[in-house]
Amino acid sequence: MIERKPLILGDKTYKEITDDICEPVETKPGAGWIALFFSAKMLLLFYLVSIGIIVTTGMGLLGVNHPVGWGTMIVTFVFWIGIGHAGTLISAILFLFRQKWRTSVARSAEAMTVFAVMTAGIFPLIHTGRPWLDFWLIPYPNQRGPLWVNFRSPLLWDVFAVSTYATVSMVFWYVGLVPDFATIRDRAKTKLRRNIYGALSLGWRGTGRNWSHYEMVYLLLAGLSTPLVLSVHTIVSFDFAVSTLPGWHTTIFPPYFVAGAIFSGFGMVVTLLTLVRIGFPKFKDYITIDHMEAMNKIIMATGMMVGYAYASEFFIAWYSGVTYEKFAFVNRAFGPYWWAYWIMVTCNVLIPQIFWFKWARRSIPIMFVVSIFVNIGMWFERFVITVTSLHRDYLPSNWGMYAWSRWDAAILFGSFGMFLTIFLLYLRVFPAISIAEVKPVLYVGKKSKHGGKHHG
Amino acid sequence: MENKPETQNQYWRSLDEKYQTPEFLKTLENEFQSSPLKSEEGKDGLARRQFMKLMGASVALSAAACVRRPVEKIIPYNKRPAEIIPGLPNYYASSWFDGSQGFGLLIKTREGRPLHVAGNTEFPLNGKGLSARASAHILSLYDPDRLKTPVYNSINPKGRNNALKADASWLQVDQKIAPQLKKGGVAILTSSYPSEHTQDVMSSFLGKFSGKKYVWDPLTLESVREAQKISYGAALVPHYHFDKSQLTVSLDGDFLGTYISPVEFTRGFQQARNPEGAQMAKLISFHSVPSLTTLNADDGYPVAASQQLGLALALLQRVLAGKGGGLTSELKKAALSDEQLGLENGTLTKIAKELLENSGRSLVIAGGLATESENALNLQLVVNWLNSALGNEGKTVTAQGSYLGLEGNSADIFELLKDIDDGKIKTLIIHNVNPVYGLPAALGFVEKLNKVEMLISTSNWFDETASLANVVAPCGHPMENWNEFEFVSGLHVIQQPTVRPLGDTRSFEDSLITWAHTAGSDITSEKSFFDIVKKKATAAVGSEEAWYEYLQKGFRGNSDHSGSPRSLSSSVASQIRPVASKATDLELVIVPTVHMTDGSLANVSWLQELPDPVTKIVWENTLTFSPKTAKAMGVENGTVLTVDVNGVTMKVTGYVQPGQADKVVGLALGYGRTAGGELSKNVGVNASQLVQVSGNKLIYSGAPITVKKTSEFNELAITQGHNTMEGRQIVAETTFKAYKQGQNGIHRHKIFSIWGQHKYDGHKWGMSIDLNTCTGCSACMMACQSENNIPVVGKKYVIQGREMHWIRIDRYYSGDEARPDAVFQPMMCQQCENAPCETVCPVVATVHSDEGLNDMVYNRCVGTRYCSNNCPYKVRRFNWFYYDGHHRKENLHMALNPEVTVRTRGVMEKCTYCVQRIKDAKNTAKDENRPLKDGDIKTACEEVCPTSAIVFGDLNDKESRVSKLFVAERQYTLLEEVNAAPRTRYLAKVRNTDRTLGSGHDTHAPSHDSKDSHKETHT
Repeated sequence: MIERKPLILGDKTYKEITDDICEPVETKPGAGWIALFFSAKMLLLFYLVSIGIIVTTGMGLLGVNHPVGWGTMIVTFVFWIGIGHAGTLISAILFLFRQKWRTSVARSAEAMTVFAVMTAGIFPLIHTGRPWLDFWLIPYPNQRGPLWVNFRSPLLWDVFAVSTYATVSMVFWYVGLVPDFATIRDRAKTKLRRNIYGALSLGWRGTGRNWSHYEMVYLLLAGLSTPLVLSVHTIVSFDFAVSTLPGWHTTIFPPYFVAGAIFSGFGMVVTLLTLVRIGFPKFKDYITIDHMEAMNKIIMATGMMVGYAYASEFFIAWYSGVTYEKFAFVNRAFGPYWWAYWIMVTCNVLIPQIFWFKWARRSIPIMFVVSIFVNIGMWFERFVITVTSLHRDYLPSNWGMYAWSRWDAAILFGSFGMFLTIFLLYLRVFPAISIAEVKPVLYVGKKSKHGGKHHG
Repeated sequence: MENKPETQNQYWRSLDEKYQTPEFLKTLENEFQSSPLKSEEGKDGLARRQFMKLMGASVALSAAACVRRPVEKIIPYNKRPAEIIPGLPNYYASSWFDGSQGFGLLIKTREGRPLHVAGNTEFPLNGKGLSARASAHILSLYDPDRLKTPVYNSINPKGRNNALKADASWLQVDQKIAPQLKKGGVAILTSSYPSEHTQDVMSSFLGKFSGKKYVWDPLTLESVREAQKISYGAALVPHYHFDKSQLTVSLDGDFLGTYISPVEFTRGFQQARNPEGAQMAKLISFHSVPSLTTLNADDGYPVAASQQLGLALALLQRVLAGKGGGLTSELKKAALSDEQLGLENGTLTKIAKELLENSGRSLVIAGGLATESENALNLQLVVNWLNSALGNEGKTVTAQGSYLGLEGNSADIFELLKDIDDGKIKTLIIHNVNPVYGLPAALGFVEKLNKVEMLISTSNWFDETASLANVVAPCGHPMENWNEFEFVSGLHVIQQPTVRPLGDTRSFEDSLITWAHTAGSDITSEKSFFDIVKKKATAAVGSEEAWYEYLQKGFRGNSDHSGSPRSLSSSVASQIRPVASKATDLELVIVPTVHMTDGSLANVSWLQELPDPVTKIVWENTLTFSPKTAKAMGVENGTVLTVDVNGVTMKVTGYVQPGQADKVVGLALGYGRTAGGELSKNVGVNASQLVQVSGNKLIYSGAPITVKKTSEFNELAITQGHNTMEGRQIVAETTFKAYKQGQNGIHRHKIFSIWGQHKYDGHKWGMSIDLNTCTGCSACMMACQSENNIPVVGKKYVIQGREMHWIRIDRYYSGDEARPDAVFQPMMCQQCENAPCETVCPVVATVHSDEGLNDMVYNRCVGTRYCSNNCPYKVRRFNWFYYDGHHRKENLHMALNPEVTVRTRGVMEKCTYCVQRIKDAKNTAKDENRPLKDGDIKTACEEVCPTSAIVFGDLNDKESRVSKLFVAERQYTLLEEVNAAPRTRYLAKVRNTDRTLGSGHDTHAPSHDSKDSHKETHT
């Protein structure tokens, strides 16, 4: 039998765990956090102003045009939605598979999911020509006939898929937070704190009944979330796959998108957690190198799946014998946007191969750099799919280029401002590691204090 | 007689008013103030309740961050004019003269304002067809930059360039001019103008003041007239009959685009090109700079402008040899061989043979600015000789029905300059020409003007010439004035005004009449020019009743083309004196373009944004190079170049034009305006500054030019960046020979669907577009723009791919880039049966109608643009910004068609098959209690197409034209394999050539069997 490695280092007691995890919530932020937060907040304000100007002036500020009707906004939307996949995967699917190592990273991964979906959710709303009429995409009884939405449109499926996913992952995350909120409430030294966290903990008493209900709800929500992990990006991929456009119209898109989403999601988790480890050194005992290594393995595996999808697309395009399909893929790799394609391949397929080496998987600087490349690569994957397919389609007379403008850059980078602002706030007001879930795995892989093996 | 000033009587309403008491003045101040704050109860400060109400409301409004919709009152007719029913259009037969070509028009008006122009179907010249300019000229009526009053310029004695502009009244202007006229020495510089009445008024006016008329056109036909005089005795512009020509050889004669009467020629040309018949006419083009004619040629050969005469002589030599004659040794020397012309050996002999085979039904044509070289006259003489030798004279070229009034002559300009120098001219009236813009600075026209005591311009714009004039007396838009034209002998056409002058303008003729009257020497007993027109026309048609009938019909008489051939003067041979062209590395050819021609409509935004049919460039003219020359010189699209022609230098952007002759650069006329409108200012460069002066002639073609590259780059706004079909079946094409053997060049797909089809009980609309007859003239684009309120976005946004045209003309090249074949394809919403746009719209804003149309519901559209992405034809256009009229300048909103929704920001739009016209025709049929007939509905594009390439109709009516075309042999569906099942179908192009199409190139092989034919290439 293979010896289990400890999931939590440093020979902690339960009290120490609680103290360690609650520390960021209960202490004043350091200079580093403040600097980061203000930078992120400035970027967020810049983002909001940019959105305001675009909404009041018109979509024409962005690079979208004829023939490229979708651009940065949709690319970045899919990018953030993809990122939002790792969290639920970690917390739901790995939970169902009883993967105990997930406990220390689940909370932040889920938080990232929620924030990424929130960030993503802005884009479909503001990318329409008349955002103030976006509510027409929701089927509600109305006095226009009633006039319903078009249930055949993948964009509508998108509305349902993304809103369902956002709701369920938020509830799932929140339910997991309840016992920890109660812990903070109980430790609170001021009345205000006690009241706020008291309200957030929904009257948690820590009774047996509480725990029993909690565990059942958590299990059910995990079961409910699991198909959503697969369905959201499947449906997002339908936006493309259901169309007639060569380069979009492919059946491989659902699994390819899901694999890509998990890939990018883990990329972002690694990026964030390496930073969290630096910012909160005590968390190193909970988010260990072993955790990071496990995620790096997933990055490598999903990276290769994505690479397989890239190759298979080319094969199918050639095998189909369809002129337009063949051209679309040749154009991706060798057309005017060849650089985007090769950035994508390099970042997503080639660079993660370094994780074949154990030292690379366990090196914080290397995994940080790789995860950044993965993020860049996955943004470009969506750019390649969206823009290079549109810019040259059936009739050569239509062909054109995306008219990238500074507003595209503002929207893309501004969205990071939104995400980071929320994430930094989260690190300070919510327990970033699940206290309740970590404690049961304290003795995993450790010699018990009582001398025997403890099966948590 | 005294001229009566306008209303001088002062009426008063009360004694108070009469005496202007303070009380009265105070009530006057308050009388029309509707603000509650100023009402009675607010006298002692603010009315409290009103204040509270207003404050409450404004706080609420400002909190809601919105602005109350302004109160817009609509007022019904107090007394409705008999002919106007609000909401229903009135149509007036009228006409328009555009430099050399005349149109019979049918102008649609609504509530007294002209909205749309269509051709007068019965008019023999253009028929229903229009040019792009004829459709677009309606916008110049509403041009906000048009002068609204006469202008008096205080001319700085140091020079005319520093004039101070001040609006004036007609009374002031007339009283200024009259004493000046009495001094005598009056001259009128005008363009060709084929109106007998205008000419009469002008000559009697000039008679009174011992004046003289000078005529000059930027697009001159002087060498044609001169050569006709030498060859046949009379200086005229003969009528060309392309419908009777089986083989047309064009030597830089752009008869389909800009030469003499293109719309009429296009109609005739395509009549003879029906591939269903036993014979199909053929067009061979020799050209220095590709034109619309070039791109429609079955066989095209690039030949430098300096070689035109040598080529024509070589053809003549071979034709004469076939007839047993020959050329003098001197001319033989000037004739060029195949090799010298860069042609395949035997090409000329073959063409000469074909010409001889088609004796009496062929046509050799040369002309236009590209032939206005030192040898222009010689070339025309050789062409006349060729046509006479081939027996075409009297058959395809006739003196009968010659084009009248086209008498512009550069010699007149030189004479005018000399007369100014001699002090003969005290007053110069310039009408309908813009010599300061159109003449090269080297002539010194501007400096000479200082010697003229008074310069009067009748321009409607404060343009280059008008800004130097002492007085600008705007003559008004043709749609505001009466006239009658005789474009070809025997055919009279009326120009009816369709709106009262929008500004305080007065027609040129009325101005002359008034000025003569004010100066005390009346030239007519009639009150106005209209009375002259009416009196003379009534006399011609017989009665007042017939006059009204004439107005309704729009034209009278017909042009008679019968007559015996003229015999060629024996002196022609001796009159041809070839001028050896100067040896040069690079020669300049200045050409007019289809949309801009002489630049007179440069301020019409529609035309500026109409892609040049050849280059597909908008908002710019470029120096065009052949691919080979461009490569040798390192020129790419957008390279900024410095050119030097005889010391005149300017900066111009380079463009690589496939099919252009090597060592030739082309530059389009009509751009680079410096005054006369905000839009046209500094768009492109003024090519006329590079025109050369040689003796008494202006030379447009063949001048040596040196070109230097700069490091600058100017991004061109090109609406179609990719010019090849990538081996896809987009325009199906076959040769006439192959077609007669049953090869239609179409690869048909086996299509099956698991879905059922829509059912149509009533109508089922469909459209057929014949790619064989489409010449790419782009008239449809302008008609669509006018009909459907399509906005213009400007150069910057065209570069970003935001142009809004609902119909566009795709132009593809195939074959060798030095000598490519070109095809045109009008592309608009295909109204698919399985419309990909409909399924993906999340809010059902684009839906299938029960008559098969893809209806676009603007109100419902939220603007996801998914429909555009999913459209295989990419014909949908998105409103990226507010194009809807919030920011339209004054008057321009009046050009909007009230029957078509003006789209707001953020919604998608596209071709609707002119659904408003469908509705309109249905209503008319219902009113008349009859079923709809085929042809009742004409879409805007169909209506103006000179060749009837576009046919719209009901597919459920088995007898309709479109139903028959849908089962025609050449019919095919674009992107059939996508199975969007479009209800617009195309008819394959048939090229009358002996070559095999696309051999060695990436064109779609007619058989389409082998996969190897899909060779991907990039340009």
